[in-house]
Amino acid sequence: MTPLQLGFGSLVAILVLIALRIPIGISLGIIGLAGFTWLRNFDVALGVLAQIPFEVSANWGLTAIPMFILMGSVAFNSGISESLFRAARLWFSALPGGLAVATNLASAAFGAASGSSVAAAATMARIAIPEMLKHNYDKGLATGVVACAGTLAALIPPSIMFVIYGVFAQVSITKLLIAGVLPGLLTAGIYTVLIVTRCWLNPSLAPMLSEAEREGLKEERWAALLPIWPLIVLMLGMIGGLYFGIFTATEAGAAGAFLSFVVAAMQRRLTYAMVKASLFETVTTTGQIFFIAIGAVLYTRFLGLAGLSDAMRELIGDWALSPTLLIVAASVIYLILGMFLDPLGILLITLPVLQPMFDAVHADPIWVGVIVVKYIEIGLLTPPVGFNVYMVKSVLGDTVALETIFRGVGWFLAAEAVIMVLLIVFPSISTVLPNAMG
Amino acid sequence: MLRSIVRTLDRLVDALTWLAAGFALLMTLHVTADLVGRTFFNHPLVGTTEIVTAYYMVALVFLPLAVITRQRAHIMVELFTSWMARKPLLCLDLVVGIVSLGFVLLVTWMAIDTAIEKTALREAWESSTGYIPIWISRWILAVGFGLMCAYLVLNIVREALALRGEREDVAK
Repeated sequence: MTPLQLGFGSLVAILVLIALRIPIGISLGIIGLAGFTWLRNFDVALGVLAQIPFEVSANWGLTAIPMFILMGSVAFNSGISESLFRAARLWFSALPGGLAVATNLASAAFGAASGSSVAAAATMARIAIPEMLKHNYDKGLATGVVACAGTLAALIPPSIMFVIYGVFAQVSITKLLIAGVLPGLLTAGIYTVLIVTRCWLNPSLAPMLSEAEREGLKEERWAALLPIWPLIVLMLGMIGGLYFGIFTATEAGAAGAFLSFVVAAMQRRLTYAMVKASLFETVTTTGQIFFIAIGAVLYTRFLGLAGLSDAMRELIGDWALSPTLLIVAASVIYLILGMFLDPLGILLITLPVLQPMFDAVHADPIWVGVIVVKYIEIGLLTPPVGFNVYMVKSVLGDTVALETIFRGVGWFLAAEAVIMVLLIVFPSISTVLPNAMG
Repeated sequence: MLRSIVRTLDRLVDALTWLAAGFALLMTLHVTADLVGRTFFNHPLVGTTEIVTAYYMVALVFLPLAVITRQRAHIMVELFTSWMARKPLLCLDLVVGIVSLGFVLLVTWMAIDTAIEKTALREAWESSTGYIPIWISRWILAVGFGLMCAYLVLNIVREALALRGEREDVAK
């Protein structure tokens, strides 16, 4: 079999195993093992199996992951999101669709403490949606904004996805984290424009506050900033420290988690239950992520042995594609896989196949990283399997139908199309900050 | 008999999850202390990188595997099988359980094999001030994967029992 046949055949085999309910990590591992047995023999396969689990876990680059998860769990369990939403509501709810705008911006700020979109969507679903429904907001808008704005957490540092991309694509994690800042802000900005325009054109989506209510907001505005200033300091400290190379991603995560505990203690939210929940969430999520990563590395090594990357490079060389054209082609793959697979699975399965192609056309790996992570986040929103949408639904129970949430998300997906065109046509949105780091 | 074995296993795994949680906290404090020491006192903690990667990370990754298996929380895709009726789904889960067990048994075997080998060698990493023994953490993999196998077996037994119950219901 040629390397290309082996590569695509094994990819199909993995997707079949995954569709048959075999856990993703095990599906990848089995095919990796079978691949080594096919190309060499079973003893070689066992030798690789003996080596890889330890190698993946004891990897300095990936140490940022548990720290980012812990930081996010502490922020999630300590109720910082309530203060964020309250402050954002006081400042922005005079706008058309003001509560939805406030939800969007509070999610962006929460993203500065959390690296996981699903967690961000879960926390805002509990706090913001009841408030919006109480003010007779359209159900699709109220739930859609929460599901979509959750994805900002994966772009704004910290971000678990960028760490994994960085390690597997061998790109600087720090630069990737910094590269996510502007695309994250751009997404939040375009979402805001979308919400304001829609609600301005169709006020029935989001009833405006009365004059008296709007006046009342002004008095409390400054006081509402008091409980959120530690988060703002944390956010600026993290981005600044990474940008100026004062600390690594792991150190940023550890210090961020530590400071989140300190902030929670200062605000009298540091309880035994909160600490236990945060730590347990951290260890189980870490275990889940690394179990998949171990399978993925087994599979990737097999593809390496099969010579897939050289084959892909040659294939692409023949076509003489431009990086932009290749990104557009990859978009189709990510959009399709995003409809069914979990985000980490998509990232780890596609990277060994697509990365050599991007290298061959000399695409900037930082730019590619931003685009890939964006697509994976869009995959959290698209039916039939949109993890953020499912999360919102599971928090709300029977109050809102799944179809209503997907309908609300539809508008934001249209905005995402605009954002993706901007990010693809202007790579400098992603690369200007990391390039300036020197 | 079976019930008491399960209870002992559950307690053991709960204890190991607490241990992993403790390591998560320790890692946070250790890395923060190293950062503060280096930045403000020009005095980093020796061996932080080695201890974080070879001990904390290994514990965080492998100790929770059993508890994740107990909660059936390994990441998987249910979409393509959500249309299936209960009984065929149970059969499929039984097969998936056996396949998973086969794979994880191989991984466990290799982990134990490696742990014995590295213990005999007294594996250690060189750090700036000397050698840090690493072989101990090789056993964490063996324990983590081994307990994962135990819960895979338990899950298989439960599915088989459920399937038998289902069949008896039909017979009645």
